[in-house]
Amino acid sequence: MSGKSNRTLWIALVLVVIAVILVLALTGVFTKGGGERVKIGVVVPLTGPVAVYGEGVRDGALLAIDEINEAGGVNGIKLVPVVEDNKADGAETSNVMNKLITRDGVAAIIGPVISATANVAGPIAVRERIPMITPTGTAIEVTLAGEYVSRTCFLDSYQGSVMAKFCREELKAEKAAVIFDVANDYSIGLKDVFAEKFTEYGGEVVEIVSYTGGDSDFNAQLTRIKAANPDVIYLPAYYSDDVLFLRQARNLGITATFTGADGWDAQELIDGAGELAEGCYFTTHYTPTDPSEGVQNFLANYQEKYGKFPIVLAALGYDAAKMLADAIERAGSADPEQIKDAINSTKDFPGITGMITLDENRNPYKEITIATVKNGQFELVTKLRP
Amino acid sequence: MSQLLQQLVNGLSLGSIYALIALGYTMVYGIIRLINFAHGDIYMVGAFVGYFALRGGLPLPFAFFLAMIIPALFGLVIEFFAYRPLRNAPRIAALITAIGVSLFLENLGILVLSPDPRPFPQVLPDKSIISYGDVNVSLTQFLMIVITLALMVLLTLFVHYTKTGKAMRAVSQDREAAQLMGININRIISVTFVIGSALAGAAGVLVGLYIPRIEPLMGVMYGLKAFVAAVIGGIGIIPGAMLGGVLMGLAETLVTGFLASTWRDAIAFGLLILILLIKPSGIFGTSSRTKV
Repeated sequence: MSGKSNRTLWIALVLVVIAVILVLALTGVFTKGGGERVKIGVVVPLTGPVAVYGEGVRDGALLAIDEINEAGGVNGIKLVPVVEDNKADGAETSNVMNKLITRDGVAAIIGPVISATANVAGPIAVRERIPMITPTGTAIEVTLAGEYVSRTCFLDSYQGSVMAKFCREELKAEKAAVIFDVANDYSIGLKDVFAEKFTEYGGEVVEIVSYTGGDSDFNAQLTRIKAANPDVIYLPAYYSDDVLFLRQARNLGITATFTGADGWDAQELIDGAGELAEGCYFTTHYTPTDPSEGVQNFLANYQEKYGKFPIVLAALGYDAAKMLADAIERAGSADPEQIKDAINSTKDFPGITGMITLDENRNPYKEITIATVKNGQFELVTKLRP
Repeated sequence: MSQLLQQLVNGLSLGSIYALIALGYTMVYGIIRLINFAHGDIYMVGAFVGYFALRGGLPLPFAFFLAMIIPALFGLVIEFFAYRPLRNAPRIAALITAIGVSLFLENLGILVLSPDPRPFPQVLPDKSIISYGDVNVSLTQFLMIVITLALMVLLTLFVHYTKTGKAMRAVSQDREAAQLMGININRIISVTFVIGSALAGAAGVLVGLYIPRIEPLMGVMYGLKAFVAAVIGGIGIIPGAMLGGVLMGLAETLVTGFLASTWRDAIAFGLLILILLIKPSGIFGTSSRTKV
């Protein structure tokens, strides 16, 4: 061995040691007393057709996490959100779930936003034993994935049956037509429940037509509906499609009342459809005109932080994060297993979208709001129990 | 009965869009035997030009004009930079380039315009201008059909009675012979791209007004369907593209209206398979021997 190569070896060794120390320092092994941290994954669509929902849920959840951290965290543990965009796409959801769990090591996940992607994420959460709370996935199958999956919103079946009841009893509708998206679990689920309940309450479903998400020309479907001459049209779809349906229906001279579900609840509906949205009814989670302290504080803080008015799903994102924090506090630990048990025993949690008690399938039971559009504003009509 | 009539109106409106886009496919194929897959994205460019022009407060006719001019420039530039250098390369090279250009335009759209769908400005009133019993033809549908017809008539006159049009037909029949007759091939090919792209741009605005939602990937499905329409009518044949487009629109609308929306694409592409089996050269196509 020559002296020169020996020296090179030493230098290399010293460099490696320095590198290791740096890495350890950066990852926080040496930072004692900086407070415990727990990472929370937030899976939301930030691009694509339902980006507005994703941004709302994210902003709501981040607001709740900020409030919790400012108040000293949960039992001194600070929550660190890791936000991922799942593009409202199944494959992408699976990618970001795996990334959050294996690379970021999150202790729990808030999301995804729409039922179709929550159905993809649920089984992954169960397999990896990480609790997941979907703020807004309303399809019944979502939480059936297993005991690690729960939600803060009501079930589609409750929404569909409340709207069927409202159409019959308040709007006195005799004949209903239903339009649904065959490529969307949420839409299919609502269609089934509405059609069943509307018939059960003594009405007649005169026409059920489908479209495929991503379509934009609905004149053929609407022409068929017009021929059936219904009193109400139930359209359980998202706002971007709703706007197209309203406009094309008007052009065909359809005068029936449009009704829908929480997918309608976005400012874009009013911006896009204008006066065509007036007098439509939909089921939703809460209304900003609620005078309770929780709701008004949320509205004030949200507007202060983001400078805009929250969409309704933001309130669910907020409740999901607060419900998770409440569970971590009761669990007294950041261990995913214990957090899961605490979430599942949630009882009378005072969320801003209502008192949340999870049943044995981890679904909350709460009142459902029916809203309408009046003079370009969302307004509360009534609240009904399913 | 009135439902059938209404569905025919809907089908004609949709079909006129397919026909306008299909014309660009068929003209380009006719002249350089290239399936220009970027054509659907040119249609998207037209829709966005219309969107920004109307948002900027320009009156509709002027916005419409711009939405034909700017996509035409796109067509010119794309032909010059992407296809002209490959003029004598194997056809597969140009085809793959066309797919590349298409992906480039789509992703550029996502990057610059964001992937979120936008509501197209509604400058036309929501009213029907023809009402016959339960059948309504909205102002937008009326304009779509009339403008498409007018553009088709203009195109046919242009191709048959102008010097450039005659040159186009000559180049399409035999490129070398046309060149020997003193025709500037490159100029004629550029003109073809310009006209095809302008028509696609017009279709973009009409769809914006009709549907009203536009997004950077809107050209993918419409482009594909229009391509199928061009093949059904007989690719390379101008009246074939018109007929193919209208047939396609009618078939889709009637299937959705009387069967189920899930069958729509199956029928559209089934129609293609049927035509390819029975008459591979398309409805107006004449079977020709391959030139050796």
